[in-house]
Amino acid sequence: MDAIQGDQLRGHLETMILSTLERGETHGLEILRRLDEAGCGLLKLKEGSLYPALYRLEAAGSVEAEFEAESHGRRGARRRIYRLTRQGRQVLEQGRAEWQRFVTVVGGILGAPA
Amino acid sequence: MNESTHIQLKILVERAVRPVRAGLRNKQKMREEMLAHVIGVYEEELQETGNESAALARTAERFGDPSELTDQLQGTVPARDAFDRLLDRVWFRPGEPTLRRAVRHALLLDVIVFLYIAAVFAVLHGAVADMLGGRWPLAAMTVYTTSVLLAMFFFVVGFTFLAEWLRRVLDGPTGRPWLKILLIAVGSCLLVPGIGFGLWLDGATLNLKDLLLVLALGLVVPGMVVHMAKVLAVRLRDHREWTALPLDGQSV
Repeated sequence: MDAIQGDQLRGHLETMILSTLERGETHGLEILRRLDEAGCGLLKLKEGSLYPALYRLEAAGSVEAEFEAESHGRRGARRRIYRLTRQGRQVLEQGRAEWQRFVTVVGGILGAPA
Repeated sequence: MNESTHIQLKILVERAVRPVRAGLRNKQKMREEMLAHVIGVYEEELQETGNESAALARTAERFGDPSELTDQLQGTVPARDAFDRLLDRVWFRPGEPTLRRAVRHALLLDVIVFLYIAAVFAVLHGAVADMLGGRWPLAAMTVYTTSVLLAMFFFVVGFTFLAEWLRRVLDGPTGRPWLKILLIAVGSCLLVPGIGFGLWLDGATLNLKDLLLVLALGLVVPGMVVHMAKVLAVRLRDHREWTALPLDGQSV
């Protein structure tokens, strides 16, 4: 199966990030690991792009973030830990419902129902 | 990880972050977080490949095109960040002589305070004039405004120098020059009472309430000086660390 590239993820990345955070708070690199694991290694995303998406989610109030207290040997560079907010959970539920509708409608048109 | 690799990873991040038009605090957040990310990726790749330059190349590939990332990051900067950028430009100019910075800040604050006093007087004009039987106390107002502006000016100049001296002590080599710290602490405690005394000698009236306020402020100032010195030290360290990185002609 071909890999899914960043462009194809447009519009869905933020909902997918929220979905990974449902498993618990974590930092950017671990979010990517969770995405990779859930996508069976077929999700190919330029990793830097994760951060603008996280900042948008933070600005929208869907996630909260704070720097770790220690850099744990990364020479002063601390990771930020993201957690899902109540609003983020609602956005995630909405995103899931919209995705279901999209798959049903487009799948029906293409003759490949979900 | 050796120093050269660390610098290469910082360059990778800085290529994306430096062109972003955002306040220093926002940019520093992006830098630190993304540096932690690329360090994590590099360590992963090094473990897999066992080769430093291959790991570095893979890290850059995974991170993506910096110019594309710049555009994406720019899109996340909120409109209110413009105020932060304005404050950064006014407050933080690395390399500016201390005297010039002190006078610039003092004059700027004086202009703001003057406009504030003028606005308050304009609003109260009718009420005060009625209270005083239509007579507007111009001379008293002038003395009051001048005293406040002078006090603010000397306070800001003194405060700026004390914070800068303490910043140099904090940034200096290991070991604390206790005599300097003691002098800065004493200077901080005496700054407000000293200005109050100077104004009193100059003819301003001080009652017991004013005197207590001046003494209380005198006790608060050392904490403010320490805070400002720490903020300045961190800002300057970050500035030196990131803006000195050579972005041209280096391949990651």
